[in-house]
Amino acid sequence: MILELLTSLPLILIGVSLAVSAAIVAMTQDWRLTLISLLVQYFFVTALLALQLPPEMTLIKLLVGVVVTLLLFWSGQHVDNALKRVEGGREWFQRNRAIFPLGLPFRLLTLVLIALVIFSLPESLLSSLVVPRVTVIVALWVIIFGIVTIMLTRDPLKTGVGLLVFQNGFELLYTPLEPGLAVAALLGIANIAVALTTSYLAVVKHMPMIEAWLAEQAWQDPSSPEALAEAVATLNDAPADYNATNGEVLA
Amino acid sequence: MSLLIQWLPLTLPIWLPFLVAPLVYLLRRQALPAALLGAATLAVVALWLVLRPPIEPMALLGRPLGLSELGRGLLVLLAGWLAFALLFFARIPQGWTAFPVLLLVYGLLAAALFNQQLVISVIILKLAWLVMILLVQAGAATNTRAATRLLVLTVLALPSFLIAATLIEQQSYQPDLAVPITWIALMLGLSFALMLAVVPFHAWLPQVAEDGPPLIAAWLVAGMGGSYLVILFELLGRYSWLAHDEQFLQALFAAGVLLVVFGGLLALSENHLGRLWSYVVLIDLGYILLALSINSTFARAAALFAIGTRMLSLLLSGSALAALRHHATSLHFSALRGLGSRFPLTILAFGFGTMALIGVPLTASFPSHWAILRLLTEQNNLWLWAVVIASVLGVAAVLRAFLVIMSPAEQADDRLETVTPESPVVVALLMALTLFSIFVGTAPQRFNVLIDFFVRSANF
Repeated sequence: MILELLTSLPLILIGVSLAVSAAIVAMTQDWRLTLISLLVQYFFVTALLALQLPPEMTLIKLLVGVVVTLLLFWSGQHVDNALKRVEGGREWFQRNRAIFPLGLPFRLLTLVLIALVIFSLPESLLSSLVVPRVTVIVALWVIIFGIVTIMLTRDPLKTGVGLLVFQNGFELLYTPLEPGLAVAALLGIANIAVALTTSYLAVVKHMPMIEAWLAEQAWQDPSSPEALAEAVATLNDAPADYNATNGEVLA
Repeated sequence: MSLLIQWLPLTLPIWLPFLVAPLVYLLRRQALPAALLGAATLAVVALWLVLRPPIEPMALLGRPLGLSELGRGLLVLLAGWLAFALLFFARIPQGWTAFPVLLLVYGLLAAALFNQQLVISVIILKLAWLVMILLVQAGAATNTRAATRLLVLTVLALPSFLIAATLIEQQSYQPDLAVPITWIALMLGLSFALMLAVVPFHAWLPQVAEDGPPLIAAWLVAGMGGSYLVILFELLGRYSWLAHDEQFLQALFAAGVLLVVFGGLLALSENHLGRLWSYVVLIDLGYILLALSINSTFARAAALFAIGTRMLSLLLSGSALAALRHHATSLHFSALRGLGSRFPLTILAFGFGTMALIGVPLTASFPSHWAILRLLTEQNNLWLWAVVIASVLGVAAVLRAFLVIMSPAEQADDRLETVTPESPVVVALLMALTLFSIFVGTAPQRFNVLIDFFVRSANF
């Protein structure tokens, strides 16, 4: 039923949806939006694969996508619930720049550059693979945005989502070449294992920070710019010129 | 049902560790019973592997299965390695989940080596790495750098492995398609470089050695890295066109020289004992790749011997490092200064294990490293001098660390009084390994029969 609906969608819509979902993962900070984009991406990856492969194989992909998103949602919610217990917790979390140390303009510039690179790829490269041209373009886009997400973030949850996006892009190209059920099942298990490890790392990284904040109201990410400013100030033996509680630079 | 009855006895190294792991998990808070049960399971597996006649290749659900002699040898070595490590964990804890998780990882490694299809093997190995990440983190809070790096590299390495496997199958079954060997070599080179920590993809190893439990870091290199080395060996044995491809051999040579040179230079600049150890590990890997790049049976035998002694040296140095970190809490030179008099034998064992990784005379790796240097001399290769100088730098780095640890503390340090002394059981285990390392280094001819057998079985 779902597969019929997905495969009835126009190819261009599937391709655009995949590209947009990958870009959202790489551009946004909000973990809920990121996970919704990931789930949407799994649906459209399934749709694109269903055009070339038997339904039981593509259903594995969809099932894996749902499980992976639920696992990541659990850890995201866990961290979010802890932040809710703190007044101004979310703002403090964003200020630590754990998700994206670089600002939105830089990320948007990256998006434009990647789009330019992908659309200027030589025709010979796009037609050299056995999969359809649209699939190649979309897969490359998704792979690159997966890598960009990994490169731009310091957060384990975001890194894990970036890795799953990368894996989705690769499987778009690889699964039609190796259409074995055993390989598809093992790749699915590997994706779930990536999600499990990511969930664990996300909780292990953020929960102690939040608990320390709850206890002292003054925890600082050691790799944040504020921590760097403090280290430089200490080195120069000058009084620190920022608010130690909220990390705001005063002068 | 008949298929199950047929396969159950043949796949004992896979299912037995899986079966025992939940029991060990229940015992995890009582270190000694958990360690004994885990070690006994691995001893049974090792015994089964040694006593069983060779397993002939066969098919399960259309997939080729079977255990090569090289794979069998590696599994026996790893079972011994892990059994020793589990007993060591009982005294020097490395995370309370280590006992069951390492059994699971051993089962996964066995499953990967039982599989004769590269595609399936590398996916199972990826699963094993993902499980290992939990042990690298070992419940440590906030700092997830090492574990995240491992996660990223594990996922990024898989595609190039899968592409290489698909291209190799195409090349083997349809040679008329003429898949460019350069592409296969490139994909294989990239994936092995990521997983074996070849420069410039080596960053995960020093990070794990700094942030993770030392013996878990040693297992990553010995167990996981060893499995990849055996897969590389088997690929070279199975596909002669790859083993004789000049470009691939040159890439192996370049990677080998790069590893030894960078390992020596970076080790000398380190002020953290764990990171220093990781760079010395790179030197040893460099020698193995150099041996594999020389297309001769003697070089392959030297590489196999080096892989075997690498396991021993990693166990010795990793155990000593774990004991040092357990007592001193940090492996930074500043924290270790003045501790030499408190742990003389542990430091001696660490020095011996690390020197063995470089290939210093009297240590386990000396015969293989010496043979590889001789082979390079016969080829009149000028890079030989870079390798020798970098190895000497590695020795200098270890001696520098030794001097720092043995030197007295700069000022009165209360910490020295509170440090617990080295445990006699731990020292006994370390000394036993050190003596075995000396035996291997001084009487390598005792292992000739074994090495010859494995070289022949690898079809070189």
